[in-house]
Amino acid sequence: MATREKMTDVELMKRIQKQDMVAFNIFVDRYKNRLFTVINRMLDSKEEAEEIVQETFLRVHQHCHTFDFRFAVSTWVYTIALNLARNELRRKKRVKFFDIEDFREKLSAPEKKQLGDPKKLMGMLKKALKKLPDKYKEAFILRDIDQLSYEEIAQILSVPLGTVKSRVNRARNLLRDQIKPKMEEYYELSKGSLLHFGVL
Amino acid sequence: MNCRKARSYISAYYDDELSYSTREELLKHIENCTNCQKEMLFQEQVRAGLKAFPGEELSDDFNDRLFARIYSAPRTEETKISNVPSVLTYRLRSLAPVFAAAGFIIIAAFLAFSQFAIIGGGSDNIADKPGDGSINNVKYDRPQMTFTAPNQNVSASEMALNVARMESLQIATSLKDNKLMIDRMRLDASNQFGGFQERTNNLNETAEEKYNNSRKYIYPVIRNAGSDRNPY
Repeated sequence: MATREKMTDVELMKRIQKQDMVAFNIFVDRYKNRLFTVINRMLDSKEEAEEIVQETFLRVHQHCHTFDFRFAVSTWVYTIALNLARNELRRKKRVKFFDIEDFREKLSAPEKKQLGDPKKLMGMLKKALKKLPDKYKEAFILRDIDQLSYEEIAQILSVPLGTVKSRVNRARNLLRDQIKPKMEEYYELSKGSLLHFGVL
Repeated sequence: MNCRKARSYISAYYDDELSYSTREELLKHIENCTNCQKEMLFQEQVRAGLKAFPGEELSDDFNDRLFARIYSAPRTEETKISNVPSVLTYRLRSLAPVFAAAGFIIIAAFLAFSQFAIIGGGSDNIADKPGDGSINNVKYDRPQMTFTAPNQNVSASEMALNVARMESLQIATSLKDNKLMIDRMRLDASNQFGGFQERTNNLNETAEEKYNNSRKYIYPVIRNAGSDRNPY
């Protein structure tokens, strides 16, 4: 079993094509958390993200014989998951007329002033991320949360490398524009923390 | 390096995509510029915040549920794929009438030849007839067929009409009514060997009756030759 867990993605995929369910189980364990993190950030829903990841692996199992070994296995799996997530986002946009979270936010706006609280910071980031356009958001999540290389992201999204870089940069700028006014206040509360973060 | 340029490099700095000299230049600028320090701090905060997002865990039974779905669910995708007709299937479907016509002709030819085979191997049947059992001694009266001898002085228009009749007859024989063709072949066979009636479907029908019946198919064609009317 130990040797199986050290197998490369390609070796695992070849075994999966031969209906080796042990190999498939190892493959699932290898990718499920990474996929879940990305999809969860995209959809902002744990249940939906879990469902998408399940569906992704189901499709991997059903269509493993169609896998083209000229490409990376990770790219293929991410592409399936992202396509499913995109479909889900489109579906949600069709049925969702207003965001209940935004509504709650407006009602409880006065409480949002305690920016020194890291949890509030986290909340701000989550909300800002949610408001990013999908094409910027997916590139940003793959790069800054899942830490994939630009080349991998270009393959997954089927766009040129330059486009990926520009989308990530655009996403970062949009995120900054949304958060910065609030962060200015946070900065005042944490003056001198540049050294703390080891930037300088 | 000015502030605008420095800020455009911050993103690339975190991606580790700056050359050594540009990186040094950027850090030197940031060290002396409070506004760019703020920008750098902001970027750092965002990145640290993203990394520190509480990593939500998948359910413990994720794998169990997945495997249960794999084992229980019908392989719908494959079913769908197999249900989608290929381009070849569409092309074959468009040729269905051609295949049907070809099949009909083959079956007709097979039936005709099978009748010949029966007759050819039917000497035992012939032996049942009175006589010495030789095919040459089978008594068979060829039906009297009355044909009008063609007039020697045939006009050009009559010749043309006769050609049209012959063509119509050929069409009727070869295409419109394969049954007629088979009957004609049966009839010829019965005329030649005799003893055929016993092996035909209608045992009561004599060869002559069969011949006369078959003529019913031919006469309307001849009668209506040259016109657009349906002979039947």
